[in-house]
Amino acid sequence: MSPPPPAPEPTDAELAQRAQRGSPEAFAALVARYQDRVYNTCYRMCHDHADALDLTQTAFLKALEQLPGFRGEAGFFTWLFRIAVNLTLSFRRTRARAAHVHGAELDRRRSARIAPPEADVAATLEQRELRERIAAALDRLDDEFRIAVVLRDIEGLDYAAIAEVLGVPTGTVKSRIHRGRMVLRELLADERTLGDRAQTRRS
Amino acid sequence: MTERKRDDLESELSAYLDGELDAARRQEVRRRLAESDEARALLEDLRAISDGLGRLPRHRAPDDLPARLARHAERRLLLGEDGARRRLRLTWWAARVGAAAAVLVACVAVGWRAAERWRSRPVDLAAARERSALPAPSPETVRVLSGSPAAGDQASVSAIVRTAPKTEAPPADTALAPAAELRETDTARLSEPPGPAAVVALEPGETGVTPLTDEASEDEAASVAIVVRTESAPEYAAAVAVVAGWTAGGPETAPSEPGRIDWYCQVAGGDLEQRIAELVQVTSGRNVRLHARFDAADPDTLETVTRAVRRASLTSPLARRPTPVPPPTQAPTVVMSRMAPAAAPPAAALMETQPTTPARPTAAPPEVSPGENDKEKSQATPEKSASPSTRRARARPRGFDDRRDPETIRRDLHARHEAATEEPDAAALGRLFAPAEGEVPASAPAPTAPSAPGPGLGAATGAEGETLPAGRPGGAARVDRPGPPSFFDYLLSLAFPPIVGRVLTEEPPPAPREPAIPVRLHVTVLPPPPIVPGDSPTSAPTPSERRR
Repeated sequence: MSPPPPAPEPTDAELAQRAQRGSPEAFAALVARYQDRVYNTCYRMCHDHADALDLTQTAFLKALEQLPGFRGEAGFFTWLFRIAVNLTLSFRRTRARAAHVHGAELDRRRSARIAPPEADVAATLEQRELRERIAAALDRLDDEFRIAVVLRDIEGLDYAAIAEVLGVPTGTVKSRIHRGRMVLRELLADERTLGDRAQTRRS
Repeated sequence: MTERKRDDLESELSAYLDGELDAARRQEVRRRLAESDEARALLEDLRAISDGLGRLPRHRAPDDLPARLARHAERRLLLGEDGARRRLRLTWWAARVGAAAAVLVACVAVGWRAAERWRSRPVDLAAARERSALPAPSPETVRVLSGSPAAGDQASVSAIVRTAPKTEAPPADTALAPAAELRETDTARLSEPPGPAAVVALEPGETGVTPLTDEASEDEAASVAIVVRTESAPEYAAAVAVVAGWTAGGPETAPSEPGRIDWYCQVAGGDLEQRIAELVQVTSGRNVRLHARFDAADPDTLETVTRAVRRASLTSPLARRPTPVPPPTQAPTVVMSRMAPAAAPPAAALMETQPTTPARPTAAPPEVSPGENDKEKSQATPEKSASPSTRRARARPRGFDDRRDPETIRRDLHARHEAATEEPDAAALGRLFAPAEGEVPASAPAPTAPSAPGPGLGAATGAEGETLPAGRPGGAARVDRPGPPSFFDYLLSLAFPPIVGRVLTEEPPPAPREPAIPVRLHVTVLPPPPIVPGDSPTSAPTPSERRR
């Protein structure tokens, strides 16, 4: 006797409606569904686990508070990300003012981190180094470009969803993503590494 | 390639890479890429960057994030707002009150002079009454939604205040009473004044509230159903003990499922909040659901019931299940085997377990007829004019006297449960309800023998020669000095200072305002879900299923 087919997983809209009617389990399910993505996005914007955790918590609490006002016009995921992104950008603005004094030191450290590697580093180390350099370069992007690139290349959102999250036109999203990548290209001015990667792909 | 064309191409490359161009633009970009090595190199760089970003390690949220969220949400739920916002809000309110007072003084000064001039004019009273006639309010619905930021106390319960079709125009002040109450929570959206009859209810289905089948009779102001969905055996036992301690009530019907308790009683409206508070304390405020019907023309009842709903809504938005308590081998199946007559002096609410193992004959309670029962009671408490509190104390089951606050009972039950679960038989469960060692129980009259006497709860009742603790003669047990407030009381007092702030004060609580007519109270205590992996947490198994 074959086991009964598992019940279809409820959609975001169904869970959100149940959460609006007072079901804590439904909201907990939404948290479990999206906590990692929200956390990762916050981390990529802050590069600090404690800050990312605080921002993720605050985003979910804010979502819980604002849940009665959620009308379902946008997807729950988009709505949640808008809350998280706004919180993160606001936090970054505040932090940037506070950390202005230490900016030069941070720049020096980051420059050191994206210095070209030694020629004889093993391939695996090169890959790891490349990831670290990309991450370090990402940290140096301006927030408006950075969040667009993170949402597109790390979270995989399409331009329309990013526009909804950021509250800007699609054309602006397109421009920010492209400019962000171009700045990253300049920051990662190690032509050999990028060229090698491109050559590997072509071959 | 001109500079302008190159810029246009560059700006399109990322969109081309992401598949966000329409067909015509895509063809154009492809054509230009075929013409320019530089453009192809740039595209490869952009692709490498995009791939590199996509391959960055993903960071996962900590596993305890839901627990952290629950703690934070509960804190916000209870405290409402942080200190800074509260101070700001108080300042803002103080400024508003000051401005309003200044305007009021100015208006009074101007009005005084105007009144002097108009004092001698004749007044047409009939015309004045006609002008002041209020339009009849139309039926409307108010939803109190959950999770409003400004009202943490409404976070996990959806309540509906719905007015019934108008039957007669209520007095103006009565019609506005629900609006004033709900506006306190900042969550009600009130479009019109409510009508004469209102229903405060939770949404059925989601909350598990059984809709009332019994309406309040003519001599009852309201009909209130409370469903307590317990999560562990001790919590269940504590809730049952609280309910069973209420006099002038009894089982509503035969239990429809094992362990389910349906209890009804008539209480004075002022006692309703106390009854709710007892249940909320015992169950830590979780899983207490209300369904109330009442006449909104009675402002006292309206206020009482609305407060009760707000108390019941004090639940955690994220259900944090407590550490599962391993169930005893014989799961508790507790039924009320006897109900107290409404008019006669109440007999003890006798509870018994229904074990699947043979009953121990030595543990069976003595067979006592109702007449003997009354006789024993008269011997144990010779004074004829016992106070209501005395009668209430006598009606407590053994081991649960109302001199202890519910939190104490709950803690005691936890301790007893841990001891009981070490002995996997049904009789051990009965010790949950038996008095603790060295504890002198309240004066409990001998019970009437149940139809199928068994060990455990029933065996614990009916002993003769019991004495009461010194200083409490005659069983006139009442809370003389309340114990220190629990942490939950403290949080509750922060959330609802006007309601429970008195918990932390030394002043005696004010006498509750009681409506002229009583409230019908129907309490359902549901047993904890079975702790079986893969089983539905909401369906209680039958005893046969438990054996399997």
